[in-house]
Amino acid sequence: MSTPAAWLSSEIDRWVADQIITPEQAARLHALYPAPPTARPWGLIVFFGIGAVVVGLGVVLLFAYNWDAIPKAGKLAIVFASIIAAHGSGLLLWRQRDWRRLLGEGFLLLGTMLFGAGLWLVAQIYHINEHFPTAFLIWGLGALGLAWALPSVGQALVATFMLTAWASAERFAFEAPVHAAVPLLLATVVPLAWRQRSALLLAVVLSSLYLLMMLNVSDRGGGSAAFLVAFSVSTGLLALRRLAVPHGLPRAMDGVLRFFGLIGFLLCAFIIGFRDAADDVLELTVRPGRDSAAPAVYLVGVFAFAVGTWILTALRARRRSIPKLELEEPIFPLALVLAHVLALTGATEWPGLVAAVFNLVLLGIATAWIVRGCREGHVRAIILGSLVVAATVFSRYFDLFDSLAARGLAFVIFGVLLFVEGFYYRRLREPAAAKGDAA
Amino acid sequence: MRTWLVLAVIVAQIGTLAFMAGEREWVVRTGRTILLRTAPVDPLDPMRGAYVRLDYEIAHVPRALCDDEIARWMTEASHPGPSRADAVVYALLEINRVGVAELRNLAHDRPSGGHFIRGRIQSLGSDHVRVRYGVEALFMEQQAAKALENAIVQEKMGVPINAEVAVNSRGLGVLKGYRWEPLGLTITLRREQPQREPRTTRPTGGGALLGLVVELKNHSESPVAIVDPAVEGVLRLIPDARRNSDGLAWVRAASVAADPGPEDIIVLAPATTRRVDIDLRSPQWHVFNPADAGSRPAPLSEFTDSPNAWFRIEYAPPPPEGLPQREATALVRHSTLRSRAFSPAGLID
Repeated sequence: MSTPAAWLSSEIDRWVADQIITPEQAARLHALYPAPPTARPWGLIVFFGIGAVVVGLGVVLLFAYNWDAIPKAGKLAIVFASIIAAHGSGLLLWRQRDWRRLLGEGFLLLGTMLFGAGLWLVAQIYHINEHFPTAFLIWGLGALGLAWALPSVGQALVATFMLTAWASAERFAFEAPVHAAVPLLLATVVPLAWRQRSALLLAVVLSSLYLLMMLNVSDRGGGSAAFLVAFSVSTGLLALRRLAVPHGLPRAMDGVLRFFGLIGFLLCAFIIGFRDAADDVLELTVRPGRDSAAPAVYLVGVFAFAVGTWILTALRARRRSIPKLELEEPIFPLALVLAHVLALTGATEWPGLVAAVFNLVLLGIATAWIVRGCREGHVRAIILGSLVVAATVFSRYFDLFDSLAARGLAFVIFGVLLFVEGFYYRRLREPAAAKGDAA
Repeated sequence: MRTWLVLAVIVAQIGTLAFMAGEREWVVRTGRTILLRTAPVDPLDPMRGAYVRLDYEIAHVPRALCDDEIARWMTEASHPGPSRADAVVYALLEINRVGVAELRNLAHDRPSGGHFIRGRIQSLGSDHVRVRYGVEALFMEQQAAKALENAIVQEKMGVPINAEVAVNSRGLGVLKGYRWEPLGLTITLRREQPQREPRTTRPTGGGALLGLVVELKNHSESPVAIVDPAVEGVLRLIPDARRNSDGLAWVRAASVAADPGPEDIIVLAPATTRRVDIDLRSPQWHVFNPADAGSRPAPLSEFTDSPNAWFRIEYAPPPPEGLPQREATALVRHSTLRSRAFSPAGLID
């Protein structure tokens, strides 16, 4: 029962008891504000859930304590019985149409977790010491199967974590990057995030893709290749969200794309705004050996994605099938192209110039946000722009300005800028405020 | 329809686990059980709990025991090219007199018969290859693992562990358990006294290896006979297979086998020790570099500048046909034992 309806229902009963209204009037009020037919007993679910987890933990601890004394057949029986019980209960509950379906999904998720635990327990029982990342892969594929069969965001989250663990373990423990992990996640989890309109799943899989692409490309391409991949992906996401909005991209998912795109882009531009970092980060070298072609594949692939989506965005904006480009938006792909040109042509001979250009990129974007924010009354854009300017100025305080005079001047200018910003914002908002008063 | 899909995935999950357990259970029940000699190291696995990591003698394979194809991989290992990490290999085994499987040859394709176990290449060097057989972890409850670790470093110091491994016809090995060797071999190093700076107690150097005290102890609960280690040829100085890139060798490496008399068969009661003192400065224990024509035999103490010269003492009793016939001869344990590795500079592994 929703909170207002529940409150009204209890109050109506009290009014009848206090003879404020008659029972007939109470019945009419109940009929006027009925409880929703599909109300979920959240209290029951929460307490049942917590109770089940606590009981389960207790049982697990008891078994763990006596594990050595339990014969092998008993251990296997416990492993399989727990998985069958969880999945069986989950399947039966999931087939219901009401709130029990949700509970069923929870049990199925528990079953998948027990499946993963079972992999390690069977390995322990039989002293298996095979290639351990394979266990994460099997676990992830098991979860992925249920993620699509149900479909379920929870199962997809487990699959994403396990497949990421698999690829990361291969990279770190065996120095063998698994390039197939990236297209696997792109082809299986991203479409599921779209299908379920899940911002959480999208955020998790994007984090995973960033991590895996940067890990894999850095094996042969070093930090520079990882930086360029992150820069390209972030730039591409900013265009992708513009293209996806007309296709029903939910607001939350739009927020995720914008968050990853902006943070990634700003961070990358900020990093190469430092002279020393520009010199190191844009020095692209490929270590010879197995998979030495991999950096080129990643770099070309994500660069093509980023530039391609921005070209498409520009064309559609021109045709007016999507809103026109904002003032600062062309800066994103141009900055990306510039970074790649500098990395490929070895223009790190002028790190000071490179750093200056990207500082101007940051200031340009921030200024555009401040101006638009003042004009349209978007306080968030003004704050974001001001923060970017502040971060840029403060960081230059430590590495660019050699004298106190220069530093002082920079602070004065920044302070004046904030004053002007406030004045400009107020002046532009005055007509709107006057309109409001007149109404 | 969707219910059937969900059910199919659930069945696939349970089926995967069942296959994993079933395959190994089948090997345990129907496979041949062999004993593999180990040297343990002990970590904690966060996913699987406490376990003792077992390092097998057959895991470290010198080039001489590899077939031509694996030898070619070892040559290619120093150049950029396809990685052989995780490549499947097969260790052909020979069961010795005490039932322990010893490595005869490492092959890249599956043998048609005999004793063998399947492994994967862990690392390739130019002169040796390290192989993983999937039976390197002995899982046990944490207290039991701790007790085993304590036994290894204290009361059972120098006693090899033999792992019981069931192997099927395709070479898949499953670890079943372990057994202690009845005999243990330990060494104590005798070093030069370190030089000290005048008017201080700080050592400036020295400590070169002068000799060893070798002890053979019966750790079992019944009498075991040994061939007196003081008999020439019973104890041997062998280079450590993993760390002897300086190429030093014992002068008597190719010597004739020991010829013990009846009085040299010694019965050790449970928990008793036979001790022998070796003076490494005597000519019979000298070493030299066979690859260097100008190298002359010298005591180990003269090679303190060779950081990659590590050796072990090996107790190698003669075969039964080489022993005098007496009642105690039947109790002789024909098992080769090796000490911890030590260096000319007086370091011990």
